[in-house]
Amino acid sequence: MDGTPAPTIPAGKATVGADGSGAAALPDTAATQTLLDGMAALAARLVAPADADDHGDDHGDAVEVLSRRHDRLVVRRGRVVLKAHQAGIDPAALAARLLTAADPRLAAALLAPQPVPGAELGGYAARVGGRWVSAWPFGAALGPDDADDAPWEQAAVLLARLHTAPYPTDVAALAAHPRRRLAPAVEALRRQAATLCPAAAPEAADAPRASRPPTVAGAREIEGAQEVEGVPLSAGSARDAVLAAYRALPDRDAVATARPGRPVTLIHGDWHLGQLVRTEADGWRLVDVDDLGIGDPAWDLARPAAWFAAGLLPPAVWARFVDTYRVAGGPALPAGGDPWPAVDLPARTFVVEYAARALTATLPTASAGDRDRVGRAGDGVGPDGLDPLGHAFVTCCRRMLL
Amino acid sequence: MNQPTMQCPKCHAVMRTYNRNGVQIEQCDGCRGIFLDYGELETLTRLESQWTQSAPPAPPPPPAQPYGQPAYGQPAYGQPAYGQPAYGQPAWGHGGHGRGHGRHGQGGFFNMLFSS
Repeated sequence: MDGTPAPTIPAGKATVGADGSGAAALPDTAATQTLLDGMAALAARLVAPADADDHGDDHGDAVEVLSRRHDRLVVRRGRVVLKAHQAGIDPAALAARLLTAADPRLAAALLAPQPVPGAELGGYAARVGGRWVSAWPFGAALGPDDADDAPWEQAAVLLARLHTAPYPTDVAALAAHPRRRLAPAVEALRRQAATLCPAAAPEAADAPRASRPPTVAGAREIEGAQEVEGVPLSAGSARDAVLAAYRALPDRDAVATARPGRPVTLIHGDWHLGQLVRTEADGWRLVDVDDLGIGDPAWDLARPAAWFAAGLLPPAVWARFVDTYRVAGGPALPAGGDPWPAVDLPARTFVVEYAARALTATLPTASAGDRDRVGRAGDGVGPDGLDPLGHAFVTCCRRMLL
Repeated sequence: MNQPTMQCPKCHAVMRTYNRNGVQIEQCDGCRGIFLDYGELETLTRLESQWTQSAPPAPPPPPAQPYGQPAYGQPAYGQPAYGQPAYGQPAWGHGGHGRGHGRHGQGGFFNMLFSS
């Protein structure tokens, strides 16, 4: 449920294959329309027209598309939001996650789903157009315009509550996989780069040795960006850096619970600021339980930590987030002292994932989905084809290798 | 990091200890002033002269700082050690990058904050 609310989108405009997993996103216009129609009908059953009128957004039986990313679709009618979960999702796992979100013990952390009359999966999801659809109270999501005063403290408190809550037995068997997008992102980079410049390594040696900051002895020469026939020469060496940083990650194929000596709690599994909504009744809550599971809670801090490590998140904001999380009793970090050892591996993992995606998006073979994953380039693209964000993550990978 | 808490002599806020290339530095949370123990300034000066002569000194062991600037959060070719708080700004960018293009364009850090 991320992104800013968009007006109704024509059904054919969904992007494809953006998840890095090879899963096609809403591939079929007719199927998408069937799904939208089914969701609109379900929404009409849940929300009386008068209720939708109250909010001034009644379109008859129409629904407003809030978010359409990958193959997840989120629509709104009045006070109710419907979410079509990923195709092929495990119904038992989804049921456990929905029941967890509905558990009163988690009401202070997670937005609770609304019962759907006649639904399966514990009464919280109905089969619509071949997909599982759940219902939620509407809450206002954050978007890029809110970045300057994003509710970092509220987010930290919600995560600390989630990480300290007793978790229902339904969900205890579900291991969270916060690293699940890493290997596909790296594989996409490998695959696409291999088709472009099979002999990239010698090219890198030809890059002019312009004035550079000193590097530690033995560090790779990975700066310098020249372009020959549209292929950035630096792509080979930047790719080397990202792949080397990937190989240097320990336990990169392990599940989140695998680190010895670390706490194991209920975790969100895919946390970023887009996973917050504010409801009129309860204030801020966490949304999107599709990756909810058991794991090391440090993974829920991984994205902010990676942004901080890459120099994108101001230190003061990171400090506010860390301090608030600690004060709220969050178990991912020690109560005092250096938090970095706890988040180091998750941060490195996400730096590599972001860098791999950014680099893949610069290649001529990149799909629209690849580009969509990293945000579109266009502003401040450097001679290496990387925008400032991509540059930050690739540079961070290089530093990780020093 | 279990040392007694220091109070800033200037503004009386709490001071935190950072390890900067092996040198303990206390910095005030309030006014950002820095306190150096005996010999620490000399150590930093020595590190700086090593820096300007040739390669920087060997990377320190994993840092122990309140907000945990990772070793790779600082470019090896970054500022002299005393130039910034230990958890401070990596030389490449410090949050300003989203401003100016994230808001209006499709990309940018502001978008990244809100997406998977």
